[in-house]
Amino acid sequence: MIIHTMNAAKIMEDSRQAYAIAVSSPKRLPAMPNTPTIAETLPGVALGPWTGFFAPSRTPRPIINFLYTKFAEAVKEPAAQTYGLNSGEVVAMPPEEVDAFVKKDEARWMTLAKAAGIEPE
Amino acid sequence: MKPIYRVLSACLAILFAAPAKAQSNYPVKPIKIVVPYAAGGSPDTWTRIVVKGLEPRIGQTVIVENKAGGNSTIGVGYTAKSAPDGYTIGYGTNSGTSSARALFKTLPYDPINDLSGIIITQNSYLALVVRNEERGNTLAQFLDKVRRDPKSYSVGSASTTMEILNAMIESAGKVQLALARYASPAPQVADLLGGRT
Repeated sequence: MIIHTMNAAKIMEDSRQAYAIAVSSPKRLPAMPNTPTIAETLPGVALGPWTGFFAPSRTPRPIINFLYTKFAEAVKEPAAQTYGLNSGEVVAMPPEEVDAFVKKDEARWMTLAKAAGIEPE
Repeated sequence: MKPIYRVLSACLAILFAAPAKAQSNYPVKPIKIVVPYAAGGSPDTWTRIVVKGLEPRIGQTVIVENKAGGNSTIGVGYTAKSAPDGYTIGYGTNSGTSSARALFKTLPYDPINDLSGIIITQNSYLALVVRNEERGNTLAQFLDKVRRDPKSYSVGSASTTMEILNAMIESAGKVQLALARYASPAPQVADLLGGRT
């Protein structure tokens, strides 16, 4: 078994190269409506990565804000919307929110990992 | 002019000059985006799609560079340690940032404080993929098979999120899923199709 991104799994499933047996979203996604979620078998087991773009921390704020505006426009392009929606949702969280979110988010992963029996090595 | 006024007017000149300078002087050369995963996978494909929309909007070439390894910590670490001049930025997920320390005690960078967020663009999900011979079996049936013969099944994954998901399945499903860590998806897929995982 492999654990794969939903985009790649959809391609493998659609081409019958392999069998996508379950997805990790909390509810079935329109992109793969016939594939059950893991949670339908194991209640509460749902998880997914968030993805984004980062700069070294001392990058000047005007540059970061400039890049944010351009990225936010770029992900509205049809090609980006299609690809993104095949594996979840497309958003555009601004820089200050990202920094605050990442800080808070660490606690969630620590808790999840520990509960699942993972110790940092 | 009194010295204090000289200092004050110099400060005002700097204050008003700095933001205008940043806006008109960036970018003046190509920008590099570091993708901390191998070429061809979802992170790489997504980044290249976004770059196509980015380039005409910023008026400069954006070069994608792949640096895979360590559940993305190698590539994200490279971004974190790059010159903070706006000419090196990187794709990142929780794997290289907020969940990095759930798996790695020591890292060559601070996954929270050495990076500034530009944008989060996706909440995305994963899938469990097995060989075609299993088609028709539900996940419950597949896990039953694994419980009966744990040694005949293994799991490949290529990210921190995937490792944690695997552990959650093991814990909730009371099943052992021996996990092998891959630096990127391609060899993982090859092993699945070749019957090695």
